[in-house]
Order: sequence, then structure tokens, then C-alpha cells
Amino acid sequence: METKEKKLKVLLVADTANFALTDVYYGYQRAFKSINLDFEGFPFHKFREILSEKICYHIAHSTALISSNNFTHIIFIGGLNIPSFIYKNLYTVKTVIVATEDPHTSKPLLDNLDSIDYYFSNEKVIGNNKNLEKTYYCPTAGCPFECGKLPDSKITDRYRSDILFLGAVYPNRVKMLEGLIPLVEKHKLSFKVCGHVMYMPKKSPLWKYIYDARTIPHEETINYYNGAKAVINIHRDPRWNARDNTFKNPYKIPSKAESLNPRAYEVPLCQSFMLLDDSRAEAREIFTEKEVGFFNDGPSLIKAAEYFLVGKGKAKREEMAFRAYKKVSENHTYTHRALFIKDILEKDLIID
Amino acid sequence: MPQKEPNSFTGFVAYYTDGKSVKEKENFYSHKLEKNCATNWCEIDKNKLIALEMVWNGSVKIRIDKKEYPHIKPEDWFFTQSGIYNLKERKIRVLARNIGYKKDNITQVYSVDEETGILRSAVRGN
Repeated sequence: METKEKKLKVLLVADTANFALTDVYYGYQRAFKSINLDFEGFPFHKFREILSEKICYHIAHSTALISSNNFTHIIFIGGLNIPSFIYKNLYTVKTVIVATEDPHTSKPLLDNLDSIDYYFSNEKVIGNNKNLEKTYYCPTAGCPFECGKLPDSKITDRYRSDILFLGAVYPNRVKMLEGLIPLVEKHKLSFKVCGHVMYMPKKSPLWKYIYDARTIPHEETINYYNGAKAVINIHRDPRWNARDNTFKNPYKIPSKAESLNPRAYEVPLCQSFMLLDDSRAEAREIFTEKEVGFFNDGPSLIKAAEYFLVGKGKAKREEMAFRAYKKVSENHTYTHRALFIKDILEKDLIID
Repeated sequence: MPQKEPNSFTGFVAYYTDGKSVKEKENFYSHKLEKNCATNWCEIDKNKLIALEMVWNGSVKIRIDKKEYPHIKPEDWFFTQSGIYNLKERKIRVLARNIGYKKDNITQVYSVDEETGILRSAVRGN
């Protein structure tokens, strides 16, 4: 029997939401270009500014199916909001999900697994699950084309700080960050909290340090990371549900979240020093104490911040940040992930 | 025209197994090729390389050493420049200098900006 090889061609679809997942989309877009993978981008978040979400779904669906486009695969970044009719009606075009979510938010996608051909999850418990045949473990990553060191002269005072927290100020983060206030006041440190504050309690003392209360655009995050002496990275508590601000999560979490957020890779790519919450298993699997400062609760965060900002650790920051930078540059970029995905997709392209 | 200080060398240094080293040079006359060359890269013997070091204005920005990357084979070493060719002056203006290595279908590149000395990285598929 003769076999012929089909050429891989991908339709890369961004998530509907215009936030962190957009950066993941652009990261994969740059990565696909850098490995010469034949693809077309579908920036859903951009189309959504002028068209209804429903129309965007239909355009993505029909674009994938036009035979002259020769798409072999459609890759959804995130994919959580994609209606199941798309998964179920892609005929010969294979469906790929690149999920960057916590275990509980993967639940709706896993319910559609019979219609999904490849599911790349950043959660090991899902990606490596032997009972789920089509799942693959693919951690989040950073984009070296988007994140990098800036010349000192380009960083204005607006972006300079001793301690920076950048991200949505979720309840578990508020609690930990509030604990830093006495240290900050004692040593007169510049402490900046940047991110949306819709879950902040009205009477929190942290309000004094809220510097930029909005979802910070990616270009500006790079400026903030570059201007900070230490960037704090606290993971979201997966038991907490953002939709109703309670700890009653609708999906019974299969296990503890293990994955790192993209920030864990973006900060090192800027050659900035990171204090990393090690409540997620990947934190110590990927980084060592020679590269980042670890903490796991309020008191250990204060201790780490004190050591690295006013204590003996001050002199170690630059060297540690450089080691973390090399680690991420050489192992954890979207190009590394894109090659991993490409290898798996290409294996199935030989047809009868 | 201002002269460069003796310690303000910018370029890569190739270290060899025999303890010798070769500095990157521009506008170089190659006796091997018997012609003027933009650089002395043709004189760099990749078979003898044990490390590449990128120096900017006298300070080492990055070192790629076989001790740290034992998998690097002679053909895996990578060094280039990014620049603009000035047609009028028939000279190349270097914008960035790049060193790196190849591994598992990936070329890992470290670039040093000629003007600022900022180190950036890039990863490319082979």
C-alpha cells in the first residue's frame, strides 16, 4: 500500500478573551514563524472588536474547512470558550487545544475530549494522565522575542520599584502582599502593585500601594519587570472561584494545581529577579534556589523579600536572575513548546 | 575620529583546546583565502573550539562553554553578526553580534546589541 505524506498546515486561533491568553497566542505565532511551520493566524480577540462572538466562531470554522486553504489542524489557544459544535464538525481537520488553565477550569474542555484530537495541557495531572489518551503535558512558556532586557535609560521612574507585584489582585494575593507592608515601611521601599483590583476588599491597607489599577498591557509589563529590583509571583488559589468570589468551585478539582503561570518565564526573560511562590510543584521542578527566591506563605515571603532587598541576598540578585534567564531562554520558550507540538502532529500526517 | 581604548574590545573570543584563543576581527586579510574579508571567521577552527565568549566594550556578556554544554559538536557552534551594509561607504555597520549553538533542531542564539550592550536571546528552528 502506498503512503503519502500530507504537509502540516495550521490555523492558529486566539482565545476570545483579550488578556493573558492573547500573549500566549502571540508567543506561539512568533514560535511557529521561527520554526518555519506553515500556519495562518486567527486573532479572535481582534475580530471580536468589530464582529459578534458568534460570527467570529463561524468564520474560524469555515476558514478551517475551506479545502483550498489546506489546513490539516486547527489549534485553539485556551479553547475554554469555544462552542462544542466547532469541535464536533471539523471533519478531516484535526482539533488541537493548547490549554493554559488550572485543573478546575479544564473540566469543561475535558468533557469535549471525544471531539478533540490533541489536548496539550500545562497541568501534568491532565497531560500525563494515562486514562486520557489524547492529552499531552506541555507547560506554559515565555516569548524571548517579546520579553527581554531594556537599556536602563529607557526605563522611566514610572516603571521603577524595589518590589513589584503585577497581576490580578486576587484574595490569596491580597493577604500575602498586605504582610509585606511593615517591611516596606520600615525600610522605605518602593512597593508597587499593578493589576485589576475588582476582588480587593474595600478596607485593605494594600490600597495605598496600588499603583496601576488595570489589566496591564503586555508591552508595559516588560517595562515594569525591567524596572523592578524584585518581582513577586504569587499563583492564584485554584480552590477560589473568580466568577462568584467564593471558595465554592463548581468543578471538583481533580488535584492540586501544579503549573506555573507565564509570568514565571517572562520575568526571567527580562533578566529581572523573581520571588516565586513554590506552592505549585513545577516551581521547584523548573527553577532552583540558585535562580529564584522561593516562598510558600506570608511569613516566608516577608523573609525572602527582606533577605533579597535589604539583607545579604541583595548582592546575589543579579547573578541569580541571569541564571534564571539562561534556564528559560534555553528550555522554556514557546519555540521549544511549538517544536514539541509539531513533532506530535506530524507523526499522524502519514496517510494511506 | 575617537580611538577605542585598549580594553574596549567588542566581539567574540574563541577559546581552543590547546589553550590558545582567537579574537573576532573585522576588515581582515585572510592569508588562507588570500583576500580581504569582512571578518576573520574563516580562520576560526570549530574543531578545536571549547568555548565562545561574547565581549562588549571589554566586559564579558555571555560565555558558552563545552563544560556546561558537552553535547556541542564542531558543527553546532554558531556565530554571526546582524548589520546594515552602507553601499556608499562600502562598509558594514554592525547592529548586533550573535553567538550560540545548535541542539535538537533548535539554534539557541545570544545577541549583544552593539550600541547598548544589552544581551537578548532568540531560539530558532533549524
